[in-house]
Amino acid sequence: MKLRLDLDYDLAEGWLAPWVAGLRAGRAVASACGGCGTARFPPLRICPDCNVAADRWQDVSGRATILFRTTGRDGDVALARFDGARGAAVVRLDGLPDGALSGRLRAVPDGPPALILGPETTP
Amino acid sequence: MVLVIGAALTAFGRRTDGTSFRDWGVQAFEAALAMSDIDRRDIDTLVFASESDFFTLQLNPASILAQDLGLIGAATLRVEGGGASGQLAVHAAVARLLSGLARRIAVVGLDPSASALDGDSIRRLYGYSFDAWTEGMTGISATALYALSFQAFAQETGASLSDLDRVTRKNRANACGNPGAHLPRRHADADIAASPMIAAPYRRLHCSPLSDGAAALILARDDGAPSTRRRTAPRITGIGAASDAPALGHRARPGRFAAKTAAMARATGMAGITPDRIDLAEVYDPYAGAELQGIDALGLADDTLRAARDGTFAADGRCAVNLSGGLMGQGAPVGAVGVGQVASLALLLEGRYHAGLQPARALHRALADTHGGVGTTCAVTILQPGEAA
Repeated sequence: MKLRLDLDYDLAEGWLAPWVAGLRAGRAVASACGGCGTARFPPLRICPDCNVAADRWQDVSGRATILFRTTGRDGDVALARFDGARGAAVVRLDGLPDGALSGRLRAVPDGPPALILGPETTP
Repeated sequence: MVLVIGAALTAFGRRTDGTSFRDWGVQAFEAALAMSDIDRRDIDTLVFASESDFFTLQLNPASILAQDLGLIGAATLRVEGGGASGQLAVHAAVARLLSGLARRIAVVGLDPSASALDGDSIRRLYGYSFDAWTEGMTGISATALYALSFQAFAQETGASLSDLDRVTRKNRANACGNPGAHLPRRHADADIAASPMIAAPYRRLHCSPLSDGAAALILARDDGAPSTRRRTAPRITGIGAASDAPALGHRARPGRFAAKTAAMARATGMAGITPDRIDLAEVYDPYAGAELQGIDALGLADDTLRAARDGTFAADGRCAVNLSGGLMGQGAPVGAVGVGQVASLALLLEGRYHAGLQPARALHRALADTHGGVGTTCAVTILQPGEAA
């Protein structure tokens, strides 16, 4: 049997709303631990170092260093660490040449939240 | 003591014969039930595993399957843990049996991962099985995530493309002895090198296929097994599970499967053995590199790469890995994978497996390993032969 299912989700962003808003504006918004103050991007609710909940949001640099990169039919993707934050994010690369070591978070104003890293246009 | 008194798998592959996932579940269950020497009315619980209702388009699938299997009245539950769903279902059953909540349980795992939706839709849905709010909505594929993790592993260990090719050749060659395998192949290195690059270093032939299929087990407490099966049936002697941060970037070492190591420690602790006692393993291999990362995390060898290169994990090696062909050769109907691993190992331990793959040597300890995410939700099961095997 053939069956087509069209679904329109309306997902509340909840605790992650500041992070999602940051991505839409091209800002890297990290969670900050209420105990040790460590900033993490992508955000974590509970700090794995001190087991204390994050209690605020803070902007970190939108610049990220590429740790590992893969290319192929599934696109140009990297694991990248954002300056000023612990952790690393899996990002889609857009317009970064082979061998690029870093990039900058790109705004994605519409649609679902997305982590896109483009070239650094300003020093 | 938990006994595997019945075990069966359907063929894995892309089904085009008009049968449905409900038919496959019945087929696997009836074969396992026949082996068990008990009546369906003796089964008090059905534990069902499937990864996603998007594949079956059936919410509350355990109740529907209970009806198809003639198990109305039994307790039913469904277990989901991504790629580990099937093995976690086995764990749920073992826990119920050991706690005394049940005496005889049917475990059925299945998924129509190949035929229900087109490949791109399935791959998009798989993207949501990592962190949907980051990787999934950014459009990151499972293959890309596994590729990044393997690159981190290779940076630490020196693993190379030839190591990936070796796993690919081994598992697909093993599948040639498995009449139910999706991809029985004898690849030349040139075949692998010529296949399309999906996410470097992974080419298409380094990846497991999307498959349809089902697997089933009948598990029983010692006092619930029929006399005909009590001495010969393999035993589940250890189970262990653990989790890691879903995002690779939140792990101290994104190339290592730390949760798998923790799950293994729990399983071996329960079984009272060390990893070097394992002489047969089904290791979760959605990608060639994941098998190496898994073996490393499980501690099946002191030096994983050296052992892989010297044939330790070959069909005739000290610890044969993925005799069935694994996900890469046998196939990957997700909910069936973990159940199928335990079923395959039980059949091997009892000397009932496919003739071309049944080892001539005595088998003492077998290990089934699966995970969901990239080594995120890990589950390990240890079996040993029955007393009279």
